[in-house]
Amino acid sequence: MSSWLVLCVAGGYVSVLFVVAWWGETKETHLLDRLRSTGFVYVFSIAIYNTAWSFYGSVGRAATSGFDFLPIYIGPLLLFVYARPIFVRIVAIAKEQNSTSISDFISARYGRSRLIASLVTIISIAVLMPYISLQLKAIGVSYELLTREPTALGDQSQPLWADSTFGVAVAMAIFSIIFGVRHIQASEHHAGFMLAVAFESLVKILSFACVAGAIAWTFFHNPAGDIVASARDEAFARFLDFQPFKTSWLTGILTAMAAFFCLPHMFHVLIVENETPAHIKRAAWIYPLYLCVLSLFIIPVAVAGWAVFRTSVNPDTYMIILPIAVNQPWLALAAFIGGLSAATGMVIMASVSLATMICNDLVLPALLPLRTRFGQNGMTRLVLTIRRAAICVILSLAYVLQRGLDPTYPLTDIGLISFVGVAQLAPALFGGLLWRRANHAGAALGLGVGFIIWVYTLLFPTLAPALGATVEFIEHGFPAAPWVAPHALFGLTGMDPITHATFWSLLFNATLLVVASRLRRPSLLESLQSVRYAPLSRNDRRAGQLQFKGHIDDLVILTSRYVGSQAAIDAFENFYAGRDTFAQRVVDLESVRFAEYLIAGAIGAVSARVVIAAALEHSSLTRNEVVGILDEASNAIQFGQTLLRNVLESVPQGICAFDENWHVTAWNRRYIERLRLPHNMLRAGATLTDIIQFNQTRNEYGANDLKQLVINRDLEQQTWPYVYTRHRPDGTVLEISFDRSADGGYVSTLTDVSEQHKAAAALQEANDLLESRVIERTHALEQAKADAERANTSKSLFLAALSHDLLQPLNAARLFTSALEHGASESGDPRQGDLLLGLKSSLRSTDEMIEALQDISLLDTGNMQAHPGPFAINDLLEELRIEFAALAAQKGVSLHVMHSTHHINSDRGLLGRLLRNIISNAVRYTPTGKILVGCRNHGSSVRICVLDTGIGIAPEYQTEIFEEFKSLASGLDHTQERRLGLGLAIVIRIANLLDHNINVRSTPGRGTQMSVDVQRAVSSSALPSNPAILDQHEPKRLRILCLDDDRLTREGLETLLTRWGHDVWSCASPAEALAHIDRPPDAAIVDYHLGSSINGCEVIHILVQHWGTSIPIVLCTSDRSAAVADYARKENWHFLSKPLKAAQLRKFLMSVNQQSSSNSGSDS
Amino acid sequence: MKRQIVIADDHPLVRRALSDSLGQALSDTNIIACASISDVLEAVEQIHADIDLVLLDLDMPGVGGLAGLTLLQSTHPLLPVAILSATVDADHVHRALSAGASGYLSKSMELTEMVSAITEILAGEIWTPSYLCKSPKSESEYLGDSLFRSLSQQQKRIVIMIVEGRMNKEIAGELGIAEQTVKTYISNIFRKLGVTRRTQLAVLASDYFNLKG
Repeated sequence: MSSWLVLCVAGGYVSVLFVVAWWGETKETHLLDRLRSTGFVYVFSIAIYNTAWSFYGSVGRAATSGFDFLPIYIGPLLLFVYARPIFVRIVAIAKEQNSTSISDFISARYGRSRLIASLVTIISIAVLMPYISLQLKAIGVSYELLTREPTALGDQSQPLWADSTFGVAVAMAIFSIIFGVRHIQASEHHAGFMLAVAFESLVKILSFACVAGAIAWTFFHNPAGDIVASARDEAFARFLDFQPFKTSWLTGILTAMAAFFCLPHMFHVLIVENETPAHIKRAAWIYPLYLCVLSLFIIPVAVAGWAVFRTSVNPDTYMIILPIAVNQPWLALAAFIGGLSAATGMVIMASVSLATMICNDLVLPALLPLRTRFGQNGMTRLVLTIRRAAICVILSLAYVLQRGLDPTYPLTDIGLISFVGVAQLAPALFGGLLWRRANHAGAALGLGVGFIIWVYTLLFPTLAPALGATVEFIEHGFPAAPWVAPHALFGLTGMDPITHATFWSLLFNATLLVVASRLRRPSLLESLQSVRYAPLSRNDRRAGQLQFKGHIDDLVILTSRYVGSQAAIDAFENFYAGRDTFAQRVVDLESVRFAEYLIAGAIGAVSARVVIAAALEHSSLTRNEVVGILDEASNAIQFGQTLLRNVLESVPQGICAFDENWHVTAWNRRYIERLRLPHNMLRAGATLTDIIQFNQTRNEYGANDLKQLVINRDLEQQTWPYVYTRHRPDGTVLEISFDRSADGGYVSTLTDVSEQHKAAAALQEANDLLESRVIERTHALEQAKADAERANTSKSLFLAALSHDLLQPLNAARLFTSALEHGASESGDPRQGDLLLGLKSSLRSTDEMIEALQDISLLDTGNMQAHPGPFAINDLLEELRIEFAALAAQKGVSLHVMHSTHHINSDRGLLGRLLRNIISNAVRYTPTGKILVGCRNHGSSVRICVLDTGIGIAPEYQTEIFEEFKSLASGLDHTQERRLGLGLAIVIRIANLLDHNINVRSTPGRGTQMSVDVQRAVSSSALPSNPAILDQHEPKRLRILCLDDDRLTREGLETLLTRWGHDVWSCASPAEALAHIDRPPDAAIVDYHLGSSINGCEVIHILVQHWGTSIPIVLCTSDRSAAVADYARKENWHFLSKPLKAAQLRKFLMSVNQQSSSNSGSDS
Repeated sequence: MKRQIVIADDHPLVRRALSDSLGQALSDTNIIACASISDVLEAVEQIHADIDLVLLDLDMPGVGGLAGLTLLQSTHPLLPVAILSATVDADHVHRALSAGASGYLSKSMELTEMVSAITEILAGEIWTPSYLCKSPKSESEYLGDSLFRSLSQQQKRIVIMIVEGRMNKEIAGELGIAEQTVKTYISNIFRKLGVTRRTQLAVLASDYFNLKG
């Protein structure tokens, strides 16, 4: 395959990496979010563990030693299956400690020891250099294989510019610099970078699966001729010879487990880049799956490779060679890309994490004294520059190393050497996590010695040829001292070099860690940190206190820098007050915590931790040095704190801060003043409960206040800020507010709101006063309204009474006038007649007015009630015509009433009165012309219209005219009588009462149309016109016996009674009566003197006997003696003296009618 | 022989105006002016059958409203009584006629009109203002009327006395009957009117008689 094609593809792949990284770095897409939040990126970035070593080397290892390639995969698998809690804990601690690298993490455990950090970094460099060069070498070899004949392998004579490995190294350096060292972040997260790494892992597994699958299919499903069956079986046999309990397996698994955590790039992707424990959980089953797939595909490739080539080619190159051998260059290319991705993923990650460590742990501490020269921005730029340079150096070194490496040296061996080296970090790491006593000295000693042993037993033999050492020395040492042989240290033989080295290095490492730790006491800071890494159990706390070297005064002095000397001394006095003896005044964990917490009150928890840490790191220094360091460290803080204190003191509110356990941490003077607390009451460490108890003893609280106290509340449920007001016994009012502070504590604020309260109370009082005034006024108004209503009612009643009383003399006056008129007409004096006419007319006018007033008052007091019913409108109109005809004629106005057939539903009397008023007005205000009264249909009603050609009403008065006492003065003839404008007021009242609509249309000077809309009667067909009252009292037709001997009387009676509609039987004699009348009449009129032998009384007796029933009887006589009358009364007959009077007769007939209609009389 | 017309009005001015003007307008007529029902009764007792007409004001002190009319009716059933009132409405007219009035005259009538009305009544006609017609009231409103119409004259007299607040003994003395008889009357009245106590009767009766105006 041509080299340019391979280069192009490789270049293209690297470009794709750039694009992916750029995309991940700069874009915020939903897909990207999903990839991150689901843990995809995290899980696949872990797969950088599988480097080119896995891709090429494991195949080779499998081909030569069967399952021996497996331990390095079993290690992580076991970790994920059984040690997930350790992952979670390391992640949690790393986050808490803000660890950005393995060196950071381990050194922090040992009191942020710079020595440890440097050691770890140096070991990492030493370990990773061969590892990185291994990757580069793998790339180089695979490239060579693709582009050249396999026979030419190992030719190193080509110049630098033609070396593809160099190109790859440069590309990796650029990529790492661009995406791995973009900026400095506290978390050292690199979004785009990680995405690219994850992408590489995906490419890696896909390419491996494809190539391996294709190879398996080609060689086993469709065996090619060049497979050597015996060789294949030999390869298979290796897998059957499975010995998992060899020491090499054990060491392999152990080193893999250690390396999985301790490799700097693994630590970065596993721990630093972890976002949530959920991702670890996900990785715990996806990554083992990844490993299984990989392992599964390794086997067929290894078998096929062995079957075809045996050792004729390097078994590490089977992945490339096999496709080429079956003439599948594209498959080989795919394998190359897979290998490239495996190698580059590891290279870039390792170089970046190494660069970070070099920069942070080696270079920067040395440059620290210079930092004032650079300033913050300068420092950032400096750090970036150092890291970029470090990357360049690392990759250059790796490249050089790669060129020096024997190309045939098995990849797996180089990898294992690195693993053993990096495993030297494990005792320090896990020891620190599990054993609290592990300390700085032990860790440093262990690391150092372990590292040296590793170098001597593994690295040195590897490089021996280049260094001129003989194989003899390596295997057997000096003849005089065979125990120094790197491969048989202390005479230990019978192990492969890796196992041998692992055994000795880790043995020394761990032993020294334990021994040295036991011999030396930890520093203060270390103890603090050890607790954070390996938490105290309950037993530990009870058993005894950790003690640190240093004196309590150091702590007091330290604390006093922040809280003031007196306060610090008081606080510590108080702190130690509970302890028995002075001897116990030692610096222990509790006192350090107490100091930290005092300082936190002044400068905040985070800063306090920094200060304490800084102080403890130098706790071996003398007291003066502590002060000096602290002065330097806290100058900036001091300024801020003074400022803060000044601000706090200048605030008008009282402020007191508490920690999460309600211990006082800070306060201002005003807080003490507001609460009237004694000056020694508040000190750091006092509790809110103390204050409350003190307040309670001096009766500060009312019953209600106690309920409101914040400590009586469920703080979980409480919403913040919690505010309440308290009335102090001295009359002041405090508004007390509690709020959460950012560090989990509480801040209480006291505000004197006495003035506001006074103002509010005054306002409330004013409000109440106002309210009561409003109520008063409302009451008064209601009273006034009631009075007015009562007055109105009494006015109406008064009017009613008045009008009645007025009418009496008025009527009298009219009667007198009539009498006078009568006399005047007789005397014939015309002048007197005129005067009388005037008098009459004025009397009538007064009369009408009073009647109108009476009507109004009746209507207003509700004494007039409507009794609607159906009737024919024409009868009413005819009545009105008759009534007004004379008046109209007198005025010279023609009055026309149109005949109407409508039947309406209304109160006849009230409607009549209404129309009477309208017509009366029309007549009055129509000087000439005519008045027309008529009806027409108007929807469901009948509209009764009164039109005139009168003076009209101006539009603005058209509603006003219906008001009381308004009449139209204009255009009135002065000779005409003026009258109160009550007519239309009555009209509108009656219309309201009857629920009729009144309409007015008028043109001034032309005339007026007033109309009333009256509901049409339901059945308008054949309603009889309403009978007049008189008709209802029309007597029934009676049969009346008249017995009188006088003919004239008889005839008179007959005429009269017949006219009244009765049947008359006139009889002149009793005999006639008896002869003709066989059935009883309804009544009888009998004369007492009948001119015969028997009188009326006797006749009546005979008749009654004859009829067998008694009837109403009138006995008449001209006899004035009382005897007859008395007899009649005794007989219960009516008695009339002659001559008979019509009115009395009528009365008799009426009583007969009444008696017959009401069937009474039986008991009278 | 002169006609005898009694005018009963408590208002002296009206009484005088009526008696003067009617006396002048009606020929051959003797006007007897009375200020109260008792005056009327007295006059009627004196000249009994010779009284042609009583013109009775409705609004009289003492026995007012229709009670006066009923009282006159109960003692003198054939004595023509016409109401002469300042208030004219259909209701009043109707009830007055039901109670046995021979006519209903308005005080605001012209004298000539009044004279012709009186003349008509004397001629045996029943006179009411022409324009009035009966408002179609529901039957229940006239229930009281029909109940009272069912009473006999003697019963009506007793009812009036009860309304006036007289004791049984007084009533018996006045009517010249035994007290036991009065009691019998009263229990009959109670049965007819559907009441059980004297006060109920008084309330019902005063409602019936009391025509304001």
